[in-house]
Amino acid sequence: MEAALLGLDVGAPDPERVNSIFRVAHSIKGGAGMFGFKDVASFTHTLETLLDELRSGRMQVTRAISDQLLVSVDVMRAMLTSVQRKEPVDMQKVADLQFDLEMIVAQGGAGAAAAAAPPASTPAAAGATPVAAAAAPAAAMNNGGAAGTTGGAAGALGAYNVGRWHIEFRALPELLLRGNDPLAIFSSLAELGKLTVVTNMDAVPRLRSIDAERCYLTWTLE
Amino acid sequence: MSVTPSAACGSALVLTSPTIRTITSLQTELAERLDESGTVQIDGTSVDRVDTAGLQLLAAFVRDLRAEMRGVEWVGCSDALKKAAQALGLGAALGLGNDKN
Repeated sequence: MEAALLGLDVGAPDPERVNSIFRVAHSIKGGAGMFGFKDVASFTHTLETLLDELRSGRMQVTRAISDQLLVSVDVMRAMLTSVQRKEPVDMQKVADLQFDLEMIVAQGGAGAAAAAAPPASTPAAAGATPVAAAAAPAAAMNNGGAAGTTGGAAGALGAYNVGRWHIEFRALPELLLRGNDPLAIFSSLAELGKLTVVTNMDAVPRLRSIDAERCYLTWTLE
Repeated sequence: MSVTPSAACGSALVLTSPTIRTITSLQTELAERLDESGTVQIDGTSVDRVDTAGLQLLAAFVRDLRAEMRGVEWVGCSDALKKAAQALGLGAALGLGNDKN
């Protein structure tokens, strides 16, 4: 990821390079969420949101943004190392950078230069959260090996703007055996905003007939 | 950490770690309880780890009991178990409260 960032051309980045950086952040977020590393998942979620803005062309890659992305790699590396070594990480530094990234997204890139200056921690960045939250469910489902869909057209632009999703979550039968757990996915989603979970047990066989390692439950999430 | 899914304690089924790692033995124990009569008491006070596989099995157990006009009485429930059940939308199915998040 760092190598790809260092090769990123400011102003006219290679789309595939931006995509590959996005995919790395997306994978780290998914893995972190799956294994319960909430701080890492939260930070990479914010980073992923910014990268999604860049790859979609809604925001341009500026020098300031490129610099912030490189700092983000350092912070992610520190967080993952701290997890691996079970050592504390400087969460204030993480929070400050996450705030800066949120500001950049909220201001459509105009905040990048300001964010490069020492952080001024105000709650203004909260306004970016609904957009970030809207992007998360599909990503979580893709990582979870589940066959899920958003609410058709409503899951596209309209839902993106209002931060509201309707998700039908049907797990692949071998989901649980692969070490994935909807419980972890839903818990991560719930941290992004209000989440209502409705479970359907219709496909669950009687206790004596269950292949207990198989996931029969399906869910509707909103 | 114990990986025993449950343990005998008088008439109550004592859950400790209902996860996919112990799911086969838990299924056997729950099936035995289905063969008994009357309300089944479950003590979930000691549950510190639970996953979707464990909750799915418990939900099926409770549903099968209710289908036989029997019930479940929770004599205790840890926060971890209750939160997990509600997060997965199985709080009501398990008799552990609503599922609003």
